[in-house]
Amino acid sequence: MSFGEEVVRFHRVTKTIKAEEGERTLFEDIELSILSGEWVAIVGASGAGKTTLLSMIGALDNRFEGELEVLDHSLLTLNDNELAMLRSQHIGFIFQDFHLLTHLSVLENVAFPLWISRAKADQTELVRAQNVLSDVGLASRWNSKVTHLSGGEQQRVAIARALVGDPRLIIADEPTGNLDEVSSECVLDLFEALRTPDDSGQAARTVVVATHDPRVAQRADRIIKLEEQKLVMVEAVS
Amino acid sequence: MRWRQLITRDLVRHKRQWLGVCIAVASSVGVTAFMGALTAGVYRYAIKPMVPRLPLEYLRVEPRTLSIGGITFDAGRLSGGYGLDESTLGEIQELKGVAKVFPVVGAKVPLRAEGGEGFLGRRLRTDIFATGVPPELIEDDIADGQEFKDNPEGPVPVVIARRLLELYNTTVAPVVEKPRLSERMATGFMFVIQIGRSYATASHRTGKVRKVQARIVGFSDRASMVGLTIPEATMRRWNREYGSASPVSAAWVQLEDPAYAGAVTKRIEQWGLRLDETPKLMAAGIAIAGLLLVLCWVLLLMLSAWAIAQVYFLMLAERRTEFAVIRALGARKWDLCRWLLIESVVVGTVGTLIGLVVGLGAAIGLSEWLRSFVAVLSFKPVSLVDVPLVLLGLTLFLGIGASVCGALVPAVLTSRIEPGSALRN
Repeated sequence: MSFGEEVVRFHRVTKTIKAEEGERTLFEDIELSILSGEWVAIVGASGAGKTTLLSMIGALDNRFEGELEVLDHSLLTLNDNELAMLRSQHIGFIFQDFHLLTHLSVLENVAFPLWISRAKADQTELVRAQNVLSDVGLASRWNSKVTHLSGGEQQRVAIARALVGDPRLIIADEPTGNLDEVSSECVLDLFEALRTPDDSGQAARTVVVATHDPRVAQRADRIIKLEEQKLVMVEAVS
Repeated sequence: MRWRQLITRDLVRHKRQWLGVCIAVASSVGVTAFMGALTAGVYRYAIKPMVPRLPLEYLRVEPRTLSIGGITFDAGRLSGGYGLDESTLGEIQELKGVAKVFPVVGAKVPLRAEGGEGFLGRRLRTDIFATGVPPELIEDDIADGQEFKDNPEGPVPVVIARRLLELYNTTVAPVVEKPRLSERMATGFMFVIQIGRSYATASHRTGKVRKVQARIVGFSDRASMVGLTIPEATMRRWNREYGSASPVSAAWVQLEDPAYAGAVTKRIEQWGLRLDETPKLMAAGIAIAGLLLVLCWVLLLMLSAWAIAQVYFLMLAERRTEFAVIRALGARKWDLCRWLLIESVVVGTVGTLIGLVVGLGAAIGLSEWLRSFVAVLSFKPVSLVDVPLVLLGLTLFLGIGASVCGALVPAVLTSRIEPGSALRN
């Protein structure tokens, strides 16, 4: 996939959720297009629906009205297994709390998505995981327990786990929420690097980040703000 | 590393929770194995030897009696039914499905037996009962080279009930410290019968007493349980010799097919006669015990599955986020479900093996302990524990089945976890 191709397309999408007071509309009839190679930051107040929007883009949630295409797949037409396959093969997730599997080593955490993807050859999994760990600067920590790593290192392991399947779309929810300033910068540099194709002809990756952190938003190509059930502001940063 | 290794790691990581499941499984299996092995053992070594191994096509008919103050009445005849005599036997013979009727003739003369010094070390004298039966009734049970027919000149052929021999082997032999006897060893054993005298009634009114030699010629399930079985003609001759008629005390009815048993039984009972219900009662008792065991087993299965499900619910609830993350990373519902069910099979198997060892060990221990008491009461079966294959199969099925059943609902619910919750958490 080259730069500029449409990776995500929302058309008249409405999302309602069940709340204590009854059904609540998070956003209504939204239109959005995200292109390959873009770094998009989603911002908004707490409860505005950032995480829900991220879930929908990440094929984790296909209960909505309207039309949503992710990587040329209309999510409403996919069953649960097909959604799982789409996530497994094309989408990488980075969580605010890292959500690493504490009983596995650093290397095993990174290789984990390959084990469950059923598509990769067994002998190459750990090699690939090792390469990705090198990319995020943790090659020497491959055999460590994840609980022995700092927050920044854990987030880099989570990023490596998101990248190991060579996904075309990276979904990150508050990736710097639990990190100090130095670690945050490191993670943002990684995001910058991974969405930029290298000389080997690697496809452009798209990064979609939900964040409260202005530093993250400022590094993005576009900022999408969720407000009063609408994408009220779509701002081009650069 | 793939699912197999992940499952192994997961089992190690959550060993405390899995231990809970393991204990629940082992408890159920242990109780089942314990109860089952004891029940099977008691049946095999204590009850079964007592139950005559009657072919289904034979029915034993007796008069219905009523005893008042030591006087016995023919209750069937008194209530307008039939007594058991030659004409009744003829009526029974006419019933559809009856192949042959064999009368059992009672003794009207006192009898006493003596002998056994060669085997027991001293001469034993005892009153005996005897009945006479037609040779055709038990001809299949007569040992090779022996004859079961009336012979006024030679020794009286005697057939013994197999249950008596089994009782001797399980009850008497251990107490008198004599070896157990096989049918082959006991066949040919000679002793003396005194006709016309007994300890209970002293001499016969005629005062006539004579001795005859007797020889054991076989063992039969249709022989009398309370004495000797001799040829019908011999018994009739003795009764005649002492001036008495030969009463029909019972009869064996041979059916053309066991399928006629119900109809023939019903007709005979309508005539006021009684069928020997010992085998039926035994069979009913065994059936009830078996049913109770199965009910206990089902109850245990349900209880253990419920207990195991609670452990699973608690454990899986703690790991909701982890499973949501795994789903978000691309695992299918079936992957998670299979993962948890395989873990439940592994834990169920381990728990089952532990339960089997503990349950059977406890059963064997209890059996030996009980046998040490039973010896005092002069009854000592070989063992009180038996582990038939069906019991092993059932306990394996119970243990693994309970674990899988208990895990099923939690596993299915866990597999349905919304992967989006991984982000929200």
